[in-house]
Amino acid sequence: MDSTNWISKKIALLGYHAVGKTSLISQFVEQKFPESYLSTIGLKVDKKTVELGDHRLELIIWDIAGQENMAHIPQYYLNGCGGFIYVIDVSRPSTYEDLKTKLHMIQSMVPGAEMVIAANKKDLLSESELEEVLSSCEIRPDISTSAKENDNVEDLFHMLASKLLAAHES
Amino acid sequence: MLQVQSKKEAEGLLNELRSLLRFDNSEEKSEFIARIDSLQEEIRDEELFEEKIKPHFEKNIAYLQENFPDLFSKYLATAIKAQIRDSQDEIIDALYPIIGKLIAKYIRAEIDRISQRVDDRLEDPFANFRLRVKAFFSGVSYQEMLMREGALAILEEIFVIRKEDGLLMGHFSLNDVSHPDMIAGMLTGIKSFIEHAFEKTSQELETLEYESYTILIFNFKTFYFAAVEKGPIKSEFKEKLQNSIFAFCEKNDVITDQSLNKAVIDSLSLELKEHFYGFNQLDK
Repeated sequence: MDSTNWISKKIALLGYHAVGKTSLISQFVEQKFPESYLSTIGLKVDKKTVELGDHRLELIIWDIAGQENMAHIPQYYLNGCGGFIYVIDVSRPSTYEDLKTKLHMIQSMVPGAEMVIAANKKDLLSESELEEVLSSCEIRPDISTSAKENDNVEDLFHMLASKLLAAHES
Repeated sequence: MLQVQSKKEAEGLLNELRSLLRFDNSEEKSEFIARIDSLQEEIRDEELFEEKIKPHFEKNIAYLQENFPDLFSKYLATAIKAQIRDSQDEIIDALYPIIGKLIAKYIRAEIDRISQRVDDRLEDPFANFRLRVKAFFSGVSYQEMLMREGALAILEEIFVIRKEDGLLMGHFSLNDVSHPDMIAGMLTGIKSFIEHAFEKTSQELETLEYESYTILIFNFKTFYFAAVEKGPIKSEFKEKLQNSIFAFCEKNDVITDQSLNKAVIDSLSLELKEHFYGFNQLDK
């Protein structure tokens, strides 16, 4: 592989506390689901390489502690982010209420960053309940996931990686 | 109502009643005794007794195990404090060999390191001569000069990190370090956090310390160097490192305004290796 096709990108996972950001990363990077909940303090950085065609994307993943108020996310953690995943918990309406305002706030902090919205914890709802939640969101999430059952986790990160690569090439 | 006609009749009735009562009492008594015997048997038979009480014990033990800290931590802390206060000498006697071994191990490792550097110095005839002359004129003994130079800090690894996003631009290490890019990210996160926590945006973090390691940070406008060193830092070491970093930047273009791909990172890492590989060798 041409080493110029091997690029590094910083991404961040954002959302309320306990929506499953760390679990999604853990499942994606280590193929493990942490059974006990440990709140992220401040920040944790992880890494995983994603292959997309003849490109290799080294994702440096910043797992930022959950915030109820997006304005409280430290700007310096978001600087230089190529993209971010906004995670909601489908079993907790407060995590996806007023989604438009929250995302607008984040986008103003990282202008030009690619975005994917993940509806996590789909294993807690039935198909019809999940559809009801997705339809009720102001902006429909791009993908529904379950970190616990490793459902759509890989696809979620690949979705963002594809967007990053497209932006990089354009 | 029962009518009693005579004393004899009354006595007869009483006797009958007594016999009835005696009969009932004895039946209850024998039942009672039988029950006691059975209980005594259960208690005497260890297996039977254990079988009866085992579930209760297990339940209580599980409860204690689960709630031990809540139930006893207060009393334990008090008891330990009292024990330490009352038996300081015994505790020191018990811990002394363990702590002593740890200290001895650490000192042995440090002496090995110093002795290795002294050996290196002795093998270099020119440096050896120069040190003897220096010792003669400075009034410090030659042996002390050798020891002082041996106890210098060692540069273990060096990172070049883009400030904006914390992405690794280049890295060189004397040891095999896994995931230098994650270290670069975390360092940037910690650095940013500290710099903003005290709202001193014009000032930048310069040093992080852990055990015998120090991370020296040299800030440039769009990137920074993080140098991990082991051992006691002296101003000469810091100055030498700083000069070496400046020389590196003069010789190589550290360009941050570009996409970081493997070719860019590998190229800068190779330049770092070439430049810093001999950094720890003693000055000639």
